[in-house]
Amino acid sequence: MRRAPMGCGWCQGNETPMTIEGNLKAVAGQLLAVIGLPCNDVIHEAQRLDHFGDGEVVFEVGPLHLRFLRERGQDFLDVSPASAPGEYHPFGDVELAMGWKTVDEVWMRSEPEPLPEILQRLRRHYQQLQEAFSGTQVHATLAKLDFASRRRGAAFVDHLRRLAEEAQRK
Amino acid sequence: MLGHYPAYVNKAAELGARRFNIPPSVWGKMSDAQRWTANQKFLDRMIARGDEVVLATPAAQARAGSFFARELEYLAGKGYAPSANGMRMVPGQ
Repeated sequence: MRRAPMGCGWCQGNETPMTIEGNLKAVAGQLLAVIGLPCNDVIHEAQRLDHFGDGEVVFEVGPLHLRFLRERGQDFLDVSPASAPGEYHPFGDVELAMGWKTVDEVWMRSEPEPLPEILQRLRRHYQQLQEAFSGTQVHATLAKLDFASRRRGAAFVDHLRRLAEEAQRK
Repeated sequence: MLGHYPAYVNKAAELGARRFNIPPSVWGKMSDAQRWTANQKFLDRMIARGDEVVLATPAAQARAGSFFARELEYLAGKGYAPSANGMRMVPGQ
């Protein structure tokens, strides 16, 4: 992981080259600035020019690492605790773990939710997230996240099995 | 091979497996419908061959609304079911 001492200059999106990666970084930084989250650093960035221009950029925001991921032109947001970075959780799983959404609301999507909408909710719940990802609560939060991911994953796999059974009956 | 970035790219390179790939300059100019049509052709070729589809990312970890999730649903709609460990999509008998 590469730490770049860029500070909140990135939040303004200045001097960002207009590559796909640059766009993602600029878009993410501008969104964080607009909603008023305390963006500290860009701590990691990567891009695969040979594969759809897929890439990622990670910002440190208080006790959170926010990973903005671009995959085949679709944007996603993942979260990891800054105190134990590494395993990232889709924001939908965070919402499920925190009790803000149901399993069905998380997995039943035909396309990704736009980043501005996700970030607005993150902003609204930021204080709760700060507490959940800080100090002694981190481990309990990670356990809840793990359980939420498994529930969401099991619901999706059940859905796939039902689709396959229906297709095989035809 | 199907999955999420970056596991999909890394695993396909490791195994020498076929993967769907379009240069960013072309992909960036395609509409969503054109993107899915191209993607579907890749899946249809695997289905026609009766291939088992190796997943670089377990089916349970597919991101909601992603192309990967949509690919898995498409395969399931053609009778492919997730294997017990969720790491393959297996054609129906």
